[in-house]
Amino acid sequence: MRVTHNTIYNVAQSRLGNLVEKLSDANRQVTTGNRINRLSDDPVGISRVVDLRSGLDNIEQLSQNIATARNWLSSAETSLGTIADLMDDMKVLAIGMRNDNYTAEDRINAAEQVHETLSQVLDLANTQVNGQYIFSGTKVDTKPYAFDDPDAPTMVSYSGNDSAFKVKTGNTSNTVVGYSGEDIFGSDYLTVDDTNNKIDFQEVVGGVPSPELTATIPPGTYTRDELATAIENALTNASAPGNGVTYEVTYNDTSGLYTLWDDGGATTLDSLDLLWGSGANADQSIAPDIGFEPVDETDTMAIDSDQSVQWGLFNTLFDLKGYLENNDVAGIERSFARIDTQFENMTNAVSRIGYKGVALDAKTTVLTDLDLSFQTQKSDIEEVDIIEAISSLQAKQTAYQAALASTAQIMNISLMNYL
Amino acid sequence: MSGIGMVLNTAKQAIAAQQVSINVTGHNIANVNTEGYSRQMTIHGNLDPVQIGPYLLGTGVSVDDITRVADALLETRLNDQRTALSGYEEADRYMRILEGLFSENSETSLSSQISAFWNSWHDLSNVPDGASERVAVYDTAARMADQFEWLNENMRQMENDLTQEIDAGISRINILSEQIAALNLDIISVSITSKPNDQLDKRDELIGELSELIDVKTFELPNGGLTVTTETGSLLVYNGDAYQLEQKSDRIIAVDPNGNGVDMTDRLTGGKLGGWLKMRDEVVPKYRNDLDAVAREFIWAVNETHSQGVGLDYFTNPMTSTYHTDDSGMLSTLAFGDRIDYTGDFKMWVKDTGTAPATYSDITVDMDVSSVTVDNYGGAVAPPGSFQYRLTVTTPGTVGPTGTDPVISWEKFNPDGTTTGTTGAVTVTDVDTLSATVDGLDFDVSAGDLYAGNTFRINTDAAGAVDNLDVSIASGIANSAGDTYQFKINTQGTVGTDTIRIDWNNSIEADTILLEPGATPITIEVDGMILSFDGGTVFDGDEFSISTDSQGNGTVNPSSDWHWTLSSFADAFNSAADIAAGGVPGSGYVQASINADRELVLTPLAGYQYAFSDDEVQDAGVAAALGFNTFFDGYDASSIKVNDVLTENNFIAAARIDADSGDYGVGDNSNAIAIADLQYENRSVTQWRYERGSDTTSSIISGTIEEYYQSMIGGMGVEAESIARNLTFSEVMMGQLTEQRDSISGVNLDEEMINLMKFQHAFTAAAKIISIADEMLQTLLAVK
Repeated sequence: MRVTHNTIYNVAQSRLGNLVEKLSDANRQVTTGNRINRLSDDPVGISRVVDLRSGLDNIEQLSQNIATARNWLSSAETSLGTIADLMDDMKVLAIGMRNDNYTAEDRINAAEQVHETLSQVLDLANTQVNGQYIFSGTKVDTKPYAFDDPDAPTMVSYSGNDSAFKVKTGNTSNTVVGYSGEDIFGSDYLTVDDTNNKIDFQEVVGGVPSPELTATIPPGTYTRDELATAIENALTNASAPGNGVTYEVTYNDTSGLYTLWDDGGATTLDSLDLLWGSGANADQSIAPDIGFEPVDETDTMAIDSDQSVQWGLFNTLFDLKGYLENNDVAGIERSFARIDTQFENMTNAVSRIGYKGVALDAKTTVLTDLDLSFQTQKSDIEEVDIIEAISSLQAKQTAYQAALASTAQIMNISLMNYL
Repeated sequence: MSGIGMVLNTAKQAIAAQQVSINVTGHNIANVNTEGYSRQMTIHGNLDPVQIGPYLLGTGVSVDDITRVADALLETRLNDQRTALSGYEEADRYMRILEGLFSENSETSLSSQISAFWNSWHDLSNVPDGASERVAVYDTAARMADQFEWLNENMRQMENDLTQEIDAGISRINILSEQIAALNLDIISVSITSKPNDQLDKRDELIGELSELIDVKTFELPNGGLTVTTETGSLLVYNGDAYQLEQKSDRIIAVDPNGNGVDMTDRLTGGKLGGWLKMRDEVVPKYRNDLDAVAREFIWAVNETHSQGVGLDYFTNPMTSTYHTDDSGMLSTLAFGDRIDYTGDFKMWVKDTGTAPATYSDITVDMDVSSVTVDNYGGAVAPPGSFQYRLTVTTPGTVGPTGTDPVISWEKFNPDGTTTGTTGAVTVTDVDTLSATVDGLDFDVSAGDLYAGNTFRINTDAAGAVDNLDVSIASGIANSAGDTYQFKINTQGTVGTDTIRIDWNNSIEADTILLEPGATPITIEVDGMILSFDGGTVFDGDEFSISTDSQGNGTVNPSSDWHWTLSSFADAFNSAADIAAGGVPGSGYVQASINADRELVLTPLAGYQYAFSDDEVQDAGVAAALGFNTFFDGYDASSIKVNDVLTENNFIAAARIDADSGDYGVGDNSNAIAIADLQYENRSVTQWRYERGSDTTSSIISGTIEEYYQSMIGGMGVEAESIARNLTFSEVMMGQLTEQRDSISGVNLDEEMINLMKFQHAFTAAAKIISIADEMLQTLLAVK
């Protein structure tokens, strides 16, 4: 083929240009460490990288969320652990105070100690993390617990709500890290045993009073509603043989009151006497547990409990304090089981928190692994293999030098040199 | 016997011929670096011999021709390649700018901003009442919205720049056409006597430049004139005449010799013009609309969830919706009207701060749309006339012998949209009982439930009889899937009798159709669908819509079917509010009204505060569609911004109201988590396909919003890569063709040097002949 001088120049120009471009590309890869600089450098790779980056951001965020969750959980763990210890102390105290060697005076002093414990528990129940109350449900800005009367408290009031604070710890999962105080310090369960399983009563049907009757609730652990059914059955079973009254016992969730009466069936009550104070088994009565004062109560219509049912920790302590102040040894004895229950509640809560911590640890491990895997994938796509890049740079440099040398040689040759 | 004069003559011819050759060689050497220059060569021919005695004696040499060495076919191929190359060069240039906008190399990239947005909600969910977390959510979202806007603005700017480039390109084409025409004239006149080599080179060069701008075809006429047409066959140059191109409202028009314009915009593929058009009409709009689709889905997803939440406070001040309907007031004409879930409810909680503790009550509007059919129209308005009746259910109930009897109120309007002042109400006691009860009109109502706020319209013709618009989809699939086509009567009349003008729009296009008088049904094509208009009387401002599914199958929603309007919603809301407040009309704690901009305004009574939705209700999305308690304002990438209400960032809704109490804890983060959850929620997003010369079509892609965005930039990368690949290929081809051309037409200096010596030697030899002839003469003279 006929080759003109311009062809030689043009070809040299474009080939050298190409080489320089490749060289600068190789140089950029080595200096930046990045393989992809424009979308078109690797379109499939870049969408993958964007996905991985978003995934990494998400992992980092979830790790932060988990840190927040841990923060809450560890505070809750500390508070509840301390309360469990205090309950343990209280049990030791109660067991000791049952001893006949102690006088009423001693027990009043002990009551003072219970009061101190109550204050401590109250403070612990009002624990905050970053200014947020952790036992307040989602009303994190509201102090959940307060004494009715700071100087002579008889009960606590709860100002939180019943939702629980949760943290997003996975793309589809949340971990509950805050608590509704009622879930922890109140209790949904009552343990019934032979210290609190009796109802002494007298029913009047057709104007005829029955003898004193005793209903016995089977031992076990009950929810409020289950307990209503259990009491209903116990009363119905205990009804005087001739009367055969079918009782109806309901628990009202809103008011927290139990209501006792007949079911309006074939046999109806004229009146009902609940012998909480004078009954033969008064010291084994369930009255305090279902909101009745330990005094007899008579009515010709449905009987509601006197106050809302509080099965919780504060109630247990207030009761213990009352028994000590009143030198009520039987009461102190009855407290043992309740304190035990509360102690177990606390330790159970602590271990539940522990499980959550374990679950979070597992999540963290997964996230760390994912993070590593995402990082690796991302670098694989996005970053250059430096050894490869350097050797490629070297190769291109050599090619460029060779091209320069040969071009310079060719350009020098002309017929005119020889004329 | 030849004479010495003849020898001298031969030598003279030889000298002259060699001189011409040296001249041509010199011309070649001089033009060695001239672009488009074809080397020239002299063709020597021996002169006719003369008979002298029995012999034929040669009489020397003459220059027969000076030709340029050029391969016309190769030139054409070169021009074609030039066209392709410059097209790719321009496309690549703009593609690089586009790619740069979406560069993923910095923290400001949209994908980083989106991911920061989701993370800000995570942070807020960790500390729902945290002031700094709230500020962060607001700022991050505002930055992201800015980025959407910035990208959109830049893409629009690119489209404008491209239009200007096209304008400049067209001017240049017109100038080149004129220059070629002028050269044609020159060449035609010179050709009669000699070869216009240099004019031809000049013309080839101009054609070359023209080829860079636009794909052209050339034909040489016998007289030497060159005819130039575009690839689409429009004449640019014919002999001495040049024809102009022009750009009118983004269309490129070729003006033919008769002065008629031919639109060839969509048929131009090559040259810079082709590259610019591809970018302006295909690539940039696709990504601009895809970005809009991302923004739109993003806004709706976040708004729908946010509007169901509650901030740290209930709202105290009156609130105006951020979206508005069009003149018809139909809720479907809201920016996100097509997203309302009519099986759900609209719920508002009202807090009475006058009591301690505060008390809460709720206002619930059942958003159902009745499936009861209204048909068998009869009767006539007396006196007869063309009117519009707007019927709205004011008391909900069940059509049939049992249940509450629903009440439908009606109002009579003039064709110009003003009310006649005539109103009424009918109680539907049973199925098919409405006989002449609405101003003399009869119709049947089938069994079923009617919901307060449901409304429909009846139009009557000049005779006073019901004559609703009868439109259906005869065949065809809409180009835009999962979209709503909104139709609005622009010029009223009766189908078949009058000329009716109807404006329509979908989410990216708008156009007008014209129903001419004639036999019904009148069929007309709208974006892929063939609509059949069977009859009916329509008034200015009347509307109907067609919603399309993910395959593009449409459903007609005429205004004579049950639907919701802003005013029917306001009425239904107010009556629900009255009932919540005890039932006295006008006693509702929060009142809804409509302002002049067709926005809904909620006004609480003093001492009352309000919030939206709760953790139990099946939310219809009405608050989000109207723009109450939403996070974003706007509906696409250019309009997206954070709702102004949230500058008071206590109203950022991290919590949800507890449906049992109407209250909630500030530590409730359900809504913040629900919004963070959206990051990995699959959604349906529209993806656009642009192809010049055919209708723009859409399909529905399912995936997370981020996945959609990733595939969008991936697609952009592939597009850029393919353009760059084509460019490289074209460059190589161009190089090879140029090499070939140069090997034929290019000047080789060595060759020319040799020629120079060759001709010099010949010149010297010819001169020697003269000196010999001279010597011969001297010798002869000396003989004397």
